[in-house]
Amino acid sequence: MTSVAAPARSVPRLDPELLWASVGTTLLACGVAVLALFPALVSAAPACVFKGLTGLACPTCGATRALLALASGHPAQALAWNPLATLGLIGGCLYLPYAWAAVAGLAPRLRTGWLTPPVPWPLRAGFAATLLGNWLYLLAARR
Amino acid sequence: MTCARCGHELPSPAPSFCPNCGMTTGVVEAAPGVSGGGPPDSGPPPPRAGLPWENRSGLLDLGAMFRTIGKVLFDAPAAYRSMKTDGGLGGPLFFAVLLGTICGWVALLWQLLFSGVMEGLMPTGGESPFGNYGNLSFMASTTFKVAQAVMLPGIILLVLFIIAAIYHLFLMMFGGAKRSFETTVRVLCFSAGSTAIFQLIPFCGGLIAFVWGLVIDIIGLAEAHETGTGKAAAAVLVPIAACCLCFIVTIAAAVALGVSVLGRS
Repeated sequence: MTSVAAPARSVPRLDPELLWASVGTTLLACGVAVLALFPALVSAAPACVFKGLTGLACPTCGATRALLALASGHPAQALAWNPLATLGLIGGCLYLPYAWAAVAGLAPRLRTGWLTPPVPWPLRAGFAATLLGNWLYLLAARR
Repeated sequence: MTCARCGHELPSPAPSFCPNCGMTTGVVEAAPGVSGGGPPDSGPPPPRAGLPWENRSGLLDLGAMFRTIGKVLFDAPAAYRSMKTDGGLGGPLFFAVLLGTICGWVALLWQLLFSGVMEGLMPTGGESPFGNYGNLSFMASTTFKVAQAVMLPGIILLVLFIIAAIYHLFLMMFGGAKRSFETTVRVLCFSAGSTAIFQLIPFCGGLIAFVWGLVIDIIGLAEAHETGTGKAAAAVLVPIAACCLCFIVTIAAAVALGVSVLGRS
């Protein structure tokens, strides 16, 4: 019932840059293409359900508006809508060209031991504090 | 010396982390039955140990189910490196259909519970952004949802085989199908069953499951078929891009036809 042993040959290894770059680029391209064809979809997006039920902002409130502000070239406005989402979007935008450059062999592959399990507790605590701080900001700013 | 996790040849002296996968070297040991402890071409790999679900005791072993979900979601490369590539489809299909059905029912329940709230939050007042062509209000009806709930196991089974067939066809086209169609179905079953858990999260669960599922499918196909990441990514992403392109071309053709008909009249 077990699998048949494969003949001796080189087994290709997973390439994280190629994986994330291909997924990110495909989703981005499809999203941009559909939104370009149906711009009404942007205004037709429903409001936040959490806010509709509780009256309070959720941790991702303002992310769509931040994306639109960033796309229209207003980074300060985007940061005001949702700082963490804006930084995440900018990070994602920077990651894609890096990943393709790394895949093409034009850039060195950046590696750190910090983000691979087990992640050190100060890093985990810092991540949780950043999420909480961002949410508190959104609540205070009434986004 | 090679990385205990991915088998990448490490330079000498050994760095503190693997330059290929980023894993801290010398700390993590390869899971039992997981190939990768030795050099990539040092002989035939050891037999695959199997996922906890593949080695479960009895028909429904909840412990094995949760261990499999955790492994597939949070350590997909190791999970799919240890997954058996054959041995029948009954177990993997049961895993996918069981989890997909239960989580799908919860997702439908969320939709029913919050349908009133969602309608109130739509800025278009319930109007579809697609105009008259997109009037899909019948899909929100309770009758439709009940019918969907009843047919869900069959729909999951059908969709699993259709997606697996598409993945396998594209894998063959890109020269990445090193194993049988059964292997592709097994990869998809464990991926779909595990990511179905995200549907328990109301509103955004489906979206998380979709994106996370794409990533796990690519990792799974690459590890199970022992092919490159590029071929696996192409097998999963090219059909999506092709669907998107077909959708755009269809709409553009319909608009062009409409404009030409209006121009004549």
